[in-house]
Order: sequence, then structure tokens, then C-alpha cells
Amino acid sequence: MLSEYLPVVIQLLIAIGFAAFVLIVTHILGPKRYDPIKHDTYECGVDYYGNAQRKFAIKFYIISVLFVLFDVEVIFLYPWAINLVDLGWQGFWGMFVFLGILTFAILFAWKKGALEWE
Amino acid sequence: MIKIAFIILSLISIFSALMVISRKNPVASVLWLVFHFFGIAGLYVLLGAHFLAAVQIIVYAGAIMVLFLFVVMMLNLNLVNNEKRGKIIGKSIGAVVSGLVLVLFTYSIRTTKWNELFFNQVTDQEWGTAVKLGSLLFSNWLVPFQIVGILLFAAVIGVVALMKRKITRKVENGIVITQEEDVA
Amino acid sequence: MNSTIDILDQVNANLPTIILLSFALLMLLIDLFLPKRNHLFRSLLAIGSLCIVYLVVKLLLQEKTVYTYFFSLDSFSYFFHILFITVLVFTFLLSGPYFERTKIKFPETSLLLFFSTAGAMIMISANDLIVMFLGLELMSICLYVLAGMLRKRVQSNEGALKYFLLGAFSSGFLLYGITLFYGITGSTNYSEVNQWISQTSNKLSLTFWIGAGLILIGFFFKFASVPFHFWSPDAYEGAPTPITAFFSATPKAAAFGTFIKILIVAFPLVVSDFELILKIIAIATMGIGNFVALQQKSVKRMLAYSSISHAGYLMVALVVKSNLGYSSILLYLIVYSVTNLGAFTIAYLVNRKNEGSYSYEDYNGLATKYPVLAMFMALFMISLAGIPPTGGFFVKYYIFYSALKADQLLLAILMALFSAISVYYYLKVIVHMYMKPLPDSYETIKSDTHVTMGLIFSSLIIIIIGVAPSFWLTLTNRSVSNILINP
Repeated sequence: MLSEYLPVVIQLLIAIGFAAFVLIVTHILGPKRYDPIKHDTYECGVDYYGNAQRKFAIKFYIISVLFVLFDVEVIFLYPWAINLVDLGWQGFWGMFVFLGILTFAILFAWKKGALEWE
Repeated sequence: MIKIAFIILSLISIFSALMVISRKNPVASVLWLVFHFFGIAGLYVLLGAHFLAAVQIIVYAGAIMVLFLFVVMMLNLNLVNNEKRGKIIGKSIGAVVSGLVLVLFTYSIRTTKWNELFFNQVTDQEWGTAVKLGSLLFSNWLVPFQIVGILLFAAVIGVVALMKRKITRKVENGIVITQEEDVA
Repeated sequence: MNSTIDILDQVNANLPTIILLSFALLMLLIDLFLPKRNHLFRSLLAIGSLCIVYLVVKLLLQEKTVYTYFFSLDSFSYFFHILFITVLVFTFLLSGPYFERTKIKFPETSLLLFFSTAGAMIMISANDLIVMFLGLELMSICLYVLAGMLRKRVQSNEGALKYFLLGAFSSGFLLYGITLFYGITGSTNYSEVNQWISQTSNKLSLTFWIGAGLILIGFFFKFASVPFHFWSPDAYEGAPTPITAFFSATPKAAAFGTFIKILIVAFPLVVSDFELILKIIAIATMGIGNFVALQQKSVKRMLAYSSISHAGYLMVALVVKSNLGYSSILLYLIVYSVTNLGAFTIAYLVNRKNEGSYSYEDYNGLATKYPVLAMFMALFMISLAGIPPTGGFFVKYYIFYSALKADQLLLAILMALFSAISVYYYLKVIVHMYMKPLPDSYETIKSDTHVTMGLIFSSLIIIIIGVAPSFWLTLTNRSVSNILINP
């Protein structure tokens, strides 16, 4: 069972290795020319001001919380989908009710205007 | 082999957890936390909880960390000020208590005779896969599963009730005026 | 676990919860698609919930009991279902003027109230620690949101945040305890845990005790008993007042009910090992709750601390661990919930200034201007203090009696002592109402018919229980002794 994870590990190692390799190689081979303008943050020719981490409006937060909630909902679809044939009608209606409840949820959020971008 | 994987993964988890609490930049902490979640997902795989590992990466490392970043940015925390951190007495009490808890847990886990307990009877190597979990969840646990749906519904209502403001726009003399109708 | 579990049985075991939730969804649709009339909406809610109470009582009278692996529908869960929905009816009846004054979104609030009630009902009927935890989370998540409904008030935000953080913390403790239990016993079902304990009773490992301790700590947080009570006064003060009344009723009743069920079904063999810790915490809770309540300048905060001390009295009955103790807890919960709902309602009616004050001075001369309102408040205060003609006296007496009967002399004496202290701060309200002169400028108190009805009903319940306490005690005793244990 665990040996099935070998490709995952190999892929991770290759990804990390490639990133490290490219970084190191550019560091060694690339020419180094320093000047103050090059170290400046590039903002389309406009001088930058303030901090990069700015306050976000709360509307982003609503969307992302709703995303997490429906993400959790979707996660439950995976074990359901691969078992659908074995589960029969009971599993089908079970998921139907579950999704029905969450349809009410999305209906609620929609009608209350939580999905509108103001 | 499993032992080596366990050691590597737990080292990753512990190291990244230490990095999370020691970074001064909260955004860096959050990114280390993503790394930590990957280590934990690997530990879940070693325990045989394959579906849980996938959930850990998809929900936690994916969705919830985005939420964390939003919160960090919404609060506009930049660098944590060193002087404002807790006093040395508070810190040492915390350290002593958590050390005692660690000792207690280690002792209790070492003294429990786990091989006499039910884990020995689990012979099915695939009990943590999505197939096994799904067949249990949608047969025996079907009704408790619906409670999860209601729980998510309640959370949606809570989000909308707490965060939604009613904003009305009207145009006066060619200028758009936004009005925030805020209750309570 | 048996390989197949009949889904239909499980649905039947949850019938009251399902009826409640379907009604909540119906109200959601009405709110979303029909024009808003808050007053009508509220009456509809109250009437609908009353119908649900009727349906549940009807089910109870048919003696329809169902036992499944995850849920059971027995007289114990019927009792709590009826209590929770009654609290809901009262909350809808009594909250009207407050929501109009503060302009809190009412439809969302009512839905959250429905869902948290459903969570409490699931908690009570659960036969399994995981299912119980799901119900607990459903209840608490709604409560965290409800505590912060007054979004523009800093105190409200603070209270809600404290409640949320400490509540999440306590849920974590509880869940960790459940995990350790699962690791040791191989099951989360109450009866199976009990079976496992009976097989290995003489060599329980340290891990078992840590698990049990963590579960206890989780519940102590929910009771707001003393080392774990810090969230409660702030959350109570920050929440909208009718919601505070709901806080002091449903979650507390749910936590105590579930705890009793776990003690009876899962831990009957180890319950005497918890005696010492329960005893210490009960004494600390009674003491600190009462002494801090003495010093409060705000009536709302006083009621918050008094609810801590009441949790202490209830824990005395937990220490006793006899059926008499448990059934007096059930009776206490009815009286206490109803009284608190009424008291908080009058508190917000009388407090016409800003949301932060709730001072005792507002009550000056209330009896001359609004004699009926003052009479209701006096009745509620007398009942909370435990003075004879009311239900509050008898329930306290039963707990006292059960403690004496179980040879817990120290606890009984301390309980009597602390409730004697509590009389001071309850009577202070009455003194302000009846003996202080009316201030020159006096704003009128805005009430409506719903509130009047609610106050009349709640005082009737208090008086009825005060008149025939033994009849009610036999009823609750029946509920406790008929918990279905793996038939």
C-alpha cells in the first residue's frame, strides 16, 4: 500500500531538486550587476509607497470562508463517487439529502447578497 | 523503511512547527504552516489514513491557509513587536506546564499496553482509503453524516449574518453615493 | 458494531429534530421569498415552535421509544427536547422589542437559534461520543455567531471572540479525550465504552484517565464551572440580552443533560472516581460565582455570575450521583431556564439607555410606575434566590436533600450558605424596585403583547412547579430512570 506513494515521493524530490538546481545554477553562472534602481520594487514606472501587505476588504473574507465550507462539502463527494455502485440507492439518497441541505445554504447566501461584489 | 520515512516526516513537522511560532513576519509563519501540514499529511499516510491525508492537503493546505492569509492581511499585522511579547514569568509558566503535559502524555503512551488493545485486531491494510471510508460513511454513518451538512449550513448562515453589510448605491448629480446600512 | 444499521430507525430516533429543522427551513424560505414583516414573522415562529412542542409531546404520550447505535429516543431525550423547544418559544416571544430597538437582523438570528436548538437535541439523543460532538459543535458554532450579533459594540466583539476561542479550545480538549478513548477502547459508543470498562475495570491505564479527564474538562468549559468560567461573563454581557437568556438556558441544559447521560450509560463503573474533582469544582464554582456576583454593578453581569453559581449548585447534584440528584437537576434546569429568560427580558426592557449600562438604578421606583412588571421581576428574583413559594426553592431544596441523603454534609452546608449569600444580590433588585423613589425624568417602557404573554407563561411555570413540586419530580425521575441502555 505504502509503495504506491513512491511516485509521489519521487515527484516531490524532482520538483524540489529542480527548483534548488535552477536557483543554485543561476546564482553561480549569472552575471552580478548591482545598482539601486534594480533593487527597487517594480511598479510600472510609478514610485512605490506603503507596505506590500495592505488591509483587505472583508468581502474577500466572506468569499473565502464560503469557499472553505463548500470545499469541505465537495470533499465528501469523493468517497461517495467511488462507492456509488456498491452503495446503491441508499447512498444515492443520502448524498441527495446532504447536497439538498447545502443547496439551501447556497440559496440563503445568494439571496442575502453574500455573493455580490460591491 | 517506514521508520526512516516516519523520522523524516516528524522532523519536517517539528521543524516547520518551530518555524511557525518563531517567525516575526506572520505571512512567513503561515507559509511555514503549509509546510507543516504537508508533513502531517505524510504522517497520516504512514498511519494508513490515506483519505485523511488527501483531505489534509486539499482542505487545510489549500483552502484554510488561504483563509489564514486573508486574516493576517485583514488584520494588517506586519512585524510582531518583540517588546510587546509576554513577560518571562508567563513564558516560563507556559513552558513548565507544556513540559509537564508532554511528560504525562509520553509516560501514559509508553505505559499503555497497546498491543493488547483493539488496534492489534485491525488486519485490514486498506481501512483508511476513500473506498473503505465511503462505504462506512454512507451506510452506517449516513444519519450522523447529515448532521455535518447541517453544521456547514449553520456556518454559512453565521458567515452571512456576521459579515454581510447592506450597501445601497444611488446616483445623485452624476456622482455615485454608496451608503452602508449597518445594523446594530 | 453490527454490520448494517437500519437507517429508518435512526431517522425515527431523530424525529423531533427533523421536524424542528424542516420548520426552520420553511421559515428560511418564507424569509427569503416573502416580504418582510418582522412582527408577523416572530409570531409565526413562536406559533410554529409551539406546534413542534405539541408534536413532540404527542410522540411522548405514544411512548414511542427507539434505540439505535447512534441515537436513542427515550423519555430522557423527550424531556430535553421539550425543554429546548420551550426555551425557543420563549426566546421568540420575549425578544421582540429588543430586536426592534437594536435593529439586529432577526431572520438570521432566528435560524441560528433553531440550529443551535437542533444541535442541543442531537447532543442529548446521541449514544455515541462522535455524534454527541457533532451536535455540540452545531450548537456552539451558532452560539459563537449569536454572541457577536451586535457588531458595532466592542464588548460584544470581545465577548464573542473570547467565547469562540475558549469554546474552540474546550471542543479541542473534548475531541482529544474522545480520540484517546477510541484509541483505548476501540469504540466511541457509550454502551461499548461501558462494556470495555467492565471487562478491564481493575487495570485501567493512565491513558484512559487522561482521556476521561479531557472529556471532563471539555464539559466543565461548557458548564462554565470555575477554573474554566472566564469566557462566560464577557460572552453573556456582550451578547444581545435575549440571546444571553438563551445562553443561560439551552447550552447549559444540553451540557448537563449530556453529561448525566454519559455518566449513567458510559461511566457507571468509574463515576465514583470522579467524585473528588467534581466536588472541588462544585465548591469553587458556587463560591466564586456568588462572591463575584455580589460586587457587580450591572444587572446583566450579576445575572451572568449568578448563572455560574447555579452551575455550581447543579454540580452538587452531579456529585451525589443518585437518581434523585439527577432528576432534581432536570427539574432545576426547567425552573432555572424559564426564570432566567424572564429576568433577562425585564432587564433589557428596563434598560432604556445605552446597551452597556444595565444599572441597578434603572429599577428605582419601578413598582410605582409599572407594578405588574415589578411583580414579575420580583417573582423571578425570588425564584432565583430560592425563596419558598416559588419553583426555585423546591428545586434547590431537592438538590440539598439529595446531597444530605448521600452523606455529602459539607457540600449541603456550603450550598445552603452560598445560596443565603446570593439572596443579597437578588433582593437588591427588589429593594431598588420597591423602596427607592421614582426618578424625576422617566422614559416609558416599550413592551408588546408577545412579551406580556411570555412573562405570564414563564411565571405560571415557576408557580406551578412551586405548587406541586413532587409531581414534577416524579416526572423527571421517570425520565432519568428510563434512559435506554442497549436493550
